[in-house]
Amino acid sequence: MKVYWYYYKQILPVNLAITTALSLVFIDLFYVVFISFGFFLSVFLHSYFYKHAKYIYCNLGFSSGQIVLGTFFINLVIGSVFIPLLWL
Amino acid sequence: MAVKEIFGDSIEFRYRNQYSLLSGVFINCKQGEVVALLGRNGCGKSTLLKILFGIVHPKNGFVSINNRRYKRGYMSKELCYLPQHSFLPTYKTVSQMIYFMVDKKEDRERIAADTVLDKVLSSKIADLSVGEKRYLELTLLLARQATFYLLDEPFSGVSPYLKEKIQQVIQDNCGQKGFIISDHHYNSVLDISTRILLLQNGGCRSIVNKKDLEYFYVPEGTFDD
Repeated sequence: MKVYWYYYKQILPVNLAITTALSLVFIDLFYVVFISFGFFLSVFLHSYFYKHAKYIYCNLGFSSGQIVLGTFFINLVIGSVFIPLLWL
Repeated sequence: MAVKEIFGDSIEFRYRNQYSLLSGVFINCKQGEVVALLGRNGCGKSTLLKILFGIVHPKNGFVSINNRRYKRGYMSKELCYLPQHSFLPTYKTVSQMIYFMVDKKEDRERIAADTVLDKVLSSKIADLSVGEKRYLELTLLLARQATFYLLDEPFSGVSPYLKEKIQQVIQDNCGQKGFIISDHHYNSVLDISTRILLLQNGGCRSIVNKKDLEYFYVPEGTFDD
């Protein structure tokens, strides 16, 4: 769990920035963008700019697919719990 | 207890639209061995290590770790790989990386008390010298419970003092672990190796003694006394 959380903390600020920027145009889609497009774009940007970071996870015994999938679910849970609070 | 072993057999590999880089390579390493993997630039040493680690997939051949075949060797958690380029995030501090990558508290304390690393614990990775980065990466990997270590140019850009420290760390661990080390600083590798392999023309040639290297790899007279 520590490994997934570590990766998640790295992509979260990028995801939030992308989601916020897109939400200025599509305000109703904040949640959808946060859990899908924003997440995957931040994963892509992270892998593009930190190419060698994958060796950390591989040396810990995790594949890139496992990390992205695990982090996707963390993002889904966090998005589902906290984003509705913004609308309260 | 059976001796653990990693081997790659019949490994064939070519990059797209290129000549065959590896053609039927066999390479093995047992627990307690330090295998020196030598070869000229572009002969496929790094690619072979990546294939063993499982992040590059060969056209043919397989990798077996403790008699079990793996497509991705790293998933066995028996393998660690030190790539040519630093893989630690530059914005993190040394102590943050120790905390993240080392599970046991006593191992963390041991690493934090290391004579090289204790001075740079609060420094960011970006502020470390090349040698300090290599030493930190190797130390972090050795704290893992893996048996086999694939080291790609561990001595490259490293000062003589840290070179000796890296050699010492490898020798201290080689009783329980196996190492395959590829480096152009062949003297540093040969000093600690128990076996020498030369990657040449797509295959691995076993080198019995240093003098044989003069036929295939280094200039004649290199090992004259």
